Amino acid sequence: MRFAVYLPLLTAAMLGTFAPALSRRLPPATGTKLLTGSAVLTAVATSFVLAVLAFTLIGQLPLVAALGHWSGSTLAAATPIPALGAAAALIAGAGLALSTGRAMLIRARAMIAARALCQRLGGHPGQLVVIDDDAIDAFAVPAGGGRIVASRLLLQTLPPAERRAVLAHESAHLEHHHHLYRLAAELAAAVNPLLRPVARGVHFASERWADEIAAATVGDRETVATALARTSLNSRARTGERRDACAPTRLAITGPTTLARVQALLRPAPQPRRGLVIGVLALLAATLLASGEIQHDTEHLFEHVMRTSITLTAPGI
Amino acid sequence: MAGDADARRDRGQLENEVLAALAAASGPLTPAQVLAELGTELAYTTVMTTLTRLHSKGAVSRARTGRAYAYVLADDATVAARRMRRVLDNGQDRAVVLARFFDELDPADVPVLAQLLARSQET
Repeated sequence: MRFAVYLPLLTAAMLGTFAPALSRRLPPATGTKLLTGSAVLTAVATSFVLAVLAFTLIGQLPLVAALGHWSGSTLAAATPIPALGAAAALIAGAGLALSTGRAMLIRARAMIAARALCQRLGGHPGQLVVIDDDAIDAFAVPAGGGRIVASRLLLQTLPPAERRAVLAHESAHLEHHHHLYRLAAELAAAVNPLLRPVARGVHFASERWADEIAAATVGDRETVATALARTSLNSRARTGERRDACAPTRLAITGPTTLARVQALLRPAPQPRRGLVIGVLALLAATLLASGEIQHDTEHLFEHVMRTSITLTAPGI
Repeated sequence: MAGDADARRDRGQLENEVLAALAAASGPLTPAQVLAELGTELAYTTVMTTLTRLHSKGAVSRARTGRAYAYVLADDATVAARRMRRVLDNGQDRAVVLARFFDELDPADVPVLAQLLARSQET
């Protein structure tokens, strides 16, 4: 238990370190699913460990000890976790619970805003809605069946094949529910901040996933690369300076990834990487085993404490 | 079943391509002009059917020009910019839920990207 409690943290740190490389090397659909799954599992393991560690301290409070029918001082003597470590876990756990609550609130508000936006947009699920303004912009709204929004100017500045690429990219986001993967990964990163690079990796991999579907739809990778390069350059030329002026509030949470996507599209389609997948799965299996061991050891600890406490407090001794 | 889903998705994709072509055009388009604007090998009747379906959904409106109908985007398929931007510029919500086609560019990436674009247009 003494060592097992560090494993979820170690896993999170390793995932955080390797997430950027994994999101670039794995085929994007595999990468999105694997990174999201790893983030969620590691976040759950982290909260479990923090809760166990904190409880070895909370359990020493007289009220809690009385409720649990054990003696606080016996627990203090028997626990392998130093009080300082348990206190740190308690504080960290409380802080992370707060930040997770905040992240959930922001997400819930955003989903409500997206739903309202979808209702205003009209049209039917999956339909393209055109904005009449001077921005160059296209995005998918994943609510109420989903809508694809594109500015008229963007559509006018692209040749037909590139227009098709943009539409295919955005409908891929809707069809494969990419917002749910991102949501899960970002909440996991709120639970365990070491997983933040993993959430960014999920964002990048899901963009790449949509790019690959667009490439398959138009039948040419370079068309998608050109559409991406052209729209981002045109958009920057038009609004770049204005946008930079108010950057802090609208800074993309992912950082710039457009160039990396263009470069990936100019290379051949990614091949399956079984070795990498197995490596990540092995790491997750180790985390699960460690969590199992922690649970087992914790049960033993409390059984032992309760037994000892009963002997100590039994009348006549 | 998978075939049905594929067919529905392809139909939706084609409808969006037709809407995009109409939005990009400077005036009403006849089905033949839409077909030319799509730049794909499609049957004329396919385009005709798609336009008719979009018309029955209220996404496009049409007016007779000579022997054919000419189609434009219906008001329902466009959204006034100001109303839209107000919703979009509302705090963090946009970055959190919307899936944009491209991210903000790092200024350092601009010349690299411009070079890639120029090279691909030469070929």
